[in-house]
Amino acid sequence: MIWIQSLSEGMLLGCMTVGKLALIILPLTILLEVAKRYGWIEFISIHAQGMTDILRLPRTAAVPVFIGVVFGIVSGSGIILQVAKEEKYTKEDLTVLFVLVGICHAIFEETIIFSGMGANLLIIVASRVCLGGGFAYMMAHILQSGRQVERYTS
Amino acid sequence: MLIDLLLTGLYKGMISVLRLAKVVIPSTIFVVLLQTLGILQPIGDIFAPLMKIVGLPGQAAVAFAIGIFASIYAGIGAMAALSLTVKEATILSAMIAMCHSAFMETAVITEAGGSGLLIFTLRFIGAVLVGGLIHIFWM
Repeated sequence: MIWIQSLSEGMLLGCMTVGKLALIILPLTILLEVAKRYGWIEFISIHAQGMTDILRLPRTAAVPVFIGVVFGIVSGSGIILQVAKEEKYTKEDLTVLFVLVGICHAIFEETIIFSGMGANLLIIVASRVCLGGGFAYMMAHILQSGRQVERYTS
Repeated sequence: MLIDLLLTGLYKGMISVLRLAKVVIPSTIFVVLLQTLGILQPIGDIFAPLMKIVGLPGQAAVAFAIGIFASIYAGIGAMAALSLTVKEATILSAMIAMCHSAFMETAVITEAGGSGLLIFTLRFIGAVLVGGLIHIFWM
């Protein structure tokens, strides 16, 4: 009896959580389709290149970083893997890139879904961006200490 | 044209919602079962001293662990079964957001050529650090 009761209780709670997630995810996926169609992603990637200099990354890395931060590691992995292979990044480049993207990715989706749990979203975003950026900056300076940024500005 | 985008978005969204349902519902049931069978409490007691550092009840360790080993959505499903205050929910959310899906995401990172172990370690340290910071500075 206790089994059936907790099964149904868990089922109900789980379905309610899925419902909350659906309300958040559906508008978001529609928005992402629109963003993709009208080229908003390329636009922002091009204008985000100041950031790659700070992290001592090649300038082309703005695209995979942005894709990862917005879409997530697994969803964006197609594009990330492709760019990483084509541009022949070093292992150090990729590690710095993924320190940032690993901590701070799918920033809209993975933040908003926590609103259903009653969490403060601003704190979650701020902590991920600050720590992702901070750790990536730290790793960039540890791993690429001897490297000249100018090498990439061709 | 716009309708087309709307439908594509809806369709992709529905697919991910269904994929989530398969993860969220079982993990919620799992935690509710642990609770009714009286297993959650002792697990919580074991982790209570550790979780106190980040200002969470010991039981939150279960949700954090599910988030790390399974996925962020499984972690949320587990969270749904716990009763948390706004502060606790924010801390646990930030920690799970920072460090989750250890296997799948680390696999992609390693595949792309990054150092998976180093990145996972930084994510875990980051999660604990952020949990502690929010705990300290929460008004």
